Amino acid sequence: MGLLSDGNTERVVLVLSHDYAGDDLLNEVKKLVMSSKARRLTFYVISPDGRPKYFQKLRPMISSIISTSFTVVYGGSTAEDLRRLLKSIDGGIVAAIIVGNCDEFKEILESSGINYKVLG
Amino acid sequence: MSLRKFLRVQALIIKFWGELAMPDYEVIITSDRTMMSNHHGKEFLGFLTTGPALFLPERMWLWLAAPKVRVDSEGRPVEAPYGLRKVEAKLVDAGFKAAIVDPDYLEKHLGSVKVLMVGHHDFFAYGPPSNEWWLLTGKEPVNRVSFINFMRSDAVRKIKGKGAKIIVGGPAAWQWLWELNFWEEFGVDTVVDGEAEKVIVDVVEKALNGDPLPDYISVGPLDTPSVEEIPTIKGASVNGLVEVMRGCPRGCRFCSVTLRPLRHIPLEVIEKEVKINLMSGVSSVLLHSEDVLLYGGNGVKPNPEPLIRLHELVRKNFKGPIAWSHASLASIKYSEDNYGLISKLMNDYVLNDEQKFLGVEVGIETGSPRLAKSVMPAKSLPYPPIKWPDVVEDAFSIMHENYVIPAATLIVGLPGETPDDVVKTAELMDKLKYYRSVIVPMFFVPMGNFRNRDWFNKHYLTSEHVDLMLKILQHTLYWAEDIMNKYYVKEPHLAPVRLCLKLFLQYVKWRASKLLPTLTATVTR
Ligand code: SF4
Repeated sequence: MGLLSDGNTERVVLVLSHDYAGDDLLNEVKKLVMSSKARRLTFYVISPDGRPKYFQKLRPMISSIISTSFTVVYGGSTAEDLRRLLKSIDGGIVAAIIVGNCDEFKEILESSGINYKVLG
Repeated sequence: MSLRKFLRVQALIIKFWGELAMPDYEVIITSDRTMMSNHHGKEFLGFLTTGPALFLPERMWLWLAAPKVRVDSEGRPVEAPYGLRKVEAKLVDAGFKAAIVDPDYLEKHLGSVKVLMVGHHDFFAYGPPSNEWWLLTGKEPVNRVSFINFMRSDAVRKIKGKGAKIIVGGPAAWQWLWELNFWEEFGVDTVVDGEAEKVIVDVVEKALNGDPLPDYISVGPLDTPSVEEIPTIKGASVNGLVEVMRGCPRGCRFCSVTLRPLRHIPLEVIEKEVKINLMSGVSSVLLHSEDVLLYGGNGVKPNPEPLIRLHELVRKNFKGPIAWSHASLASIKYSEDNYGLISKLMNDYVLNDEQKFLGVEVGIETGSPRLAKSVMPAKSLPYPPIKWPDVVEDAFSIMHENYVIPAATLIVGLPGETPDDVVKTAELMDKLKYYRSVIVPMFFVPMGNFRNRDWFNKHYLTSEHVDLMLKILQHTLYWAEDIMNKYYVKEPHLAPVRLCLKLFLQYVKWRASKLLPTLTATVTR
């Protein structure tokens, strides 16, 4: 099974607003990695920073995950993009983390039945 | 028709048929010149690419450190970096039309290329020792300049312009996270971090099918390839490098290699790769492992039999120079003290009429037992970390007596380092001054379990550091001259390279004498 194939992968949605949660995000992701039963993780990122600038906020997270394989996919910047992303992924999301105060995003996640945590 | 006209027409016909007959490579694997070079057949000269051009124009420096390589009619290099060869082999085995192409010949394949894969050891010169030369001289190292120029070249722009995907990877993949402007400017689609064998076929397939690609792929320890999943190279590697082992059991906390499992490559595969290199005309064998002496060993203890068989196998095929990429100082001491193995390997297999020494990279990192215990507790095994300085000195003495010439690294600014640790390292330097070696100080770069630590920079330099660096400089200048006079770059056709190196050594001596008072004054303040 390839690293990019869907099997044995847990999917996590990260919604990163302009407010950066620093260590909080790092700790939350670490908890996720520790509790994950899957061999691999895929992070779908929604961020207004655009591609690839959104990585600025992910550097500490990326450098701290050393035990698990993971991929990072950019999903766009708006609530509409999140909606489209959730539709295209078609379920299987184990967690979502929202950094910053974004009611629109919360509503979309709630209506899709996805548990989320708000940081910052 | 005049003879001249006839020859021109003939040349045009040959070119036309040559281009028609050119295979349609959909996947091109490449790198910039600092990587795509055999460094005049002297691996150590490649280190010059990690510094800025000093006392020479940049073009000349590049010629000295990374001359162009021979290519075939399709622009495929005769020798190419080993990591790129593995990617090429994996893709060819999977049925893709893939090839490594020299950076000067990319335009030949504009019509067919759909995926451009670029690998590098140090894309932006953040790795050691590039970052250190950069910080100390304030000038961008040649490898960084060369790579950026390559990515801005017409050929790469045209390839991107026609919609090809750009995938980058290699041991320095993480550096892209710190160069997001370049990531955007060059239009990189995917960054692959970690051993690529189990993921690369999938990625390329998706790229060719036009499927969406992830921006970043990090391959963890569980997805590293098994021995069977590592393909045999299809063409020669730079200076005949052949991997004998992957991973390292010593677990130093600042090292990323150690996060991966240990795999020993079977002798049959090693022999196949040695033969591929020799058949392509490469005239050296560079056995690659993080610790060549652990090949076929039990954990951290060298085992003589597989090592003897390995060297026997190489010598059976080849009489020319053999080198080891890396060996640990603990393994050198253990194998000589317990089996007389270094002397045996050197006298029975390595040294001959054509080979007067063996080059190897070793890691001292620190002379402080306290720091060794905290950041690299297994580096000295099977000896305790408290004995680390003695292990280093004994290993240096063994190498000196057996004509093994080490290029050793020392890390300045390891997490938790105190002035007393630096003094201990300086004391060790005093003991090492009798042993033939080149020692290179490196500034700490956050990697391995220390990936989220702070970088060391010149503002953290203390007077103890300066004292240590001066000792290292004196040591290396003294021995570099001796090594040059007796062993290195002796081939007549390399006389210009030799001259440049000698001038370079004189220049460094002169610069050091000028810089010393300023440096000491700055740190004392
Ligand atoms: S001995 Fe070398 S390769 Fe092995 S973990 Fe230590 S630094 Fe890394």
